[in-house]
Amino acid sequence: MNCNEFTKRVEDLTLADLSRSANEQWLSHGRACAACSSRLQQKQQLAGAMLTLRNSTAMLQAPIQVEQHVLRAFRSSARIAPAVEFKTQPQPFAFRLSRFFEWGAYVAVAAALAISLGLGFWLWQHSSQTAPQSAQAQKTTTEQPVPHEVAQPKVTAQVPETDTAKPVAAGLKSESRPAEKSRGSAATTQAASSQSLAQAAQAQGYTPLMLCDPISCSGDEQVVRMELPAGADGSTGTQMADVVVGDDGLVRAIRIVQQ
Amino acid sequence: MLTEQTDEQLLTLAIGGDEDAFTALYRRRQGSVYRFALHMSGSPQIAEEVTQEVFIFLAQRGRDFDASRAPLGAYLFGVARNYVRRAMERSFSESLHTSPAEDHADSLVADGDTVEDLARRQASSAIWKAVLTLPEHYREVVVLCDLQELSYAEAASAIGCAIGTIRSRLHRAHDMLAKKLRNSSAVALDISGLAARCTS
Repeated sequence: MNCNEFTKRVEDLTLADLSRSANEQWLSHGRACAACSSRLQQKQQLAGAMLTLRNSTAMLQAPIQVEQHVLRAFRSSARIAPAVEFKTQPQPFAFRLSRFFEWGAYVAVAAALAISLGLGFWLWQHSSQTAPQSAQAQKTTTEQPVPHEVAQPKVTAQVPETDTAKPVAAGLKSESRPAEKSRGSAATTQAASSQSLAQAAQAQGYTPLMLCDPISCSGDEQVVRMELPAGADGSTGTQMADVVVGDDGLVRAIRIVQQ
Repeated sequence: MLTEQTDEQLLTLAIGGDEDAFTALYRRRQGSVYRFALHMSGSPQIAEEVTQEVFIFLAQRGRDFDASRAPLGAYLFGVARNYVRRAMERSFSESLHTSPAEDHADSLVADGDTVEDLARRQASSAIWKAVLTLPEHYREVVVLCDLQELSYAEAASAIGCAIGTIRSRLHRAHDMLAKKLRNSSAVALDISGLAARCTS
C-alpha cells in the first residue's frame, strides 16, 4: 500500500468506520511512513473525540411532553383525514360539466366520422360515373393542337411569341388526374404519371430532364426561352431553347428552338 | 409485534390511522432526531421544538414519503435539518442578547463523579463547542456521519447532495476541527488520552 492508497482509504471511511476497519496492512504502512502515521493518528484522535461526545450524549432524548404534543397532533390529523375524503365524495358541478363535454366530444367525433364516410362514398360513386367521360375528353384534347392562350398560362418576359408548346408538366398533371382517380394505388399512379410525362414531353419536342413524380411536380410551371451559351450544343453560333421550369426552380424539360 | 416491523411498515400503518404504530415509530426515531437537532444547534429548546415539528410533519405529510428515494431515517434527518435551519435563523437575533448556544454544551454532557468522568465531560464539551463553531454545511456532515453514524450515501440523501460532496465536506471539516482542537492544548491532551482509551 502506498501513501496515495492510504490517504484515499482514510478519506473513504467515516471516523466511526476508521477505528473499526483498521487492519494490519494499514497499520504496517502507518508505521513505515511518518506522514501517513501522523495523519492516521490525527484521524484516530478525532474519531476518539467524536466517540466520547457521542457516548456522552447518547442517552439524551426528547422530553415526554414532546411525545404528548406529537400524539395529539397525530390524533387530530387522523380525525381530519376521513372528513377530507368525505368532502371529496360529492361530485362538483365543474366535474359533472367536464364529464358532459367528454361525452359531447365522443359524439362529435362519431358524427364527423359518419359524415366523412358518407362523403367519401358519395365522391367515390360520383368519380366512378364521370371517369369514362373524362378519359374520353382527355383523349380528344391530347390529339388536338393546344390553343395559343392555353399554351402560355404563366410565361415570363422571354416566352417566345410563336410558342405553341404547352407546359409539359402542367399538361401531364391534367392528364394524370383521371388516372389518379381511377386507380387505387398511389404507387401505380406515380409510375403512370411519370411515363405519361415522358411521352407528352417527347410528343411536343421537349426532352424531359427529370422524371417528375406527382407530389414534387404538383406546382405551376413556366416556359422560358433562353439563349444557350455558345458551343453548348457543339456549334459555334448562339442557340435558343425553350425550358420548362417548375416553381421549385428545377428544369423539367428542354427543347432546342430551330432558328 | 410492532417492534419487529421496519420503519416503513410502521409508517404505512400510521398513515392508515394506527396510533400504536405511530407511537412505536416515534419512540424508535425521536432520540436520533432530537440529538441531531441538539448537536446542530447546541440548544435543548430548539432540539425539542424541532423533534416535535418533525413528527407532526410526519403525521400530516407522511404520505409524501417515497421509500425508493431514501430510508425513513435519512428522510427524517432531512426534514429535521430544514427545521433546525429555520429555528436557528429565528433564534439568531434572540441569541445575541442571551448566552451563546455553545454554553449549553457544558450542561448537556453526561455527569460523573470520578476524575476521569470530569475529564471526559470537559473533553466532550470542548469537542462539541468546536463542532458548533463550524460553518453549518460542515457541521451537518460531521453530525450526520460522525455523531449519528450515517453512511456517506445516507447523509447525501438526507442533505440532498452528491456523495462526493459529503466526502469532501467531511474531510475539510475534520481538518478544521483538528486545527481548532490543536489550538487548545489542554483539550487536545484530554482528547488524545481519551482517544487512546477509546480505541484500545
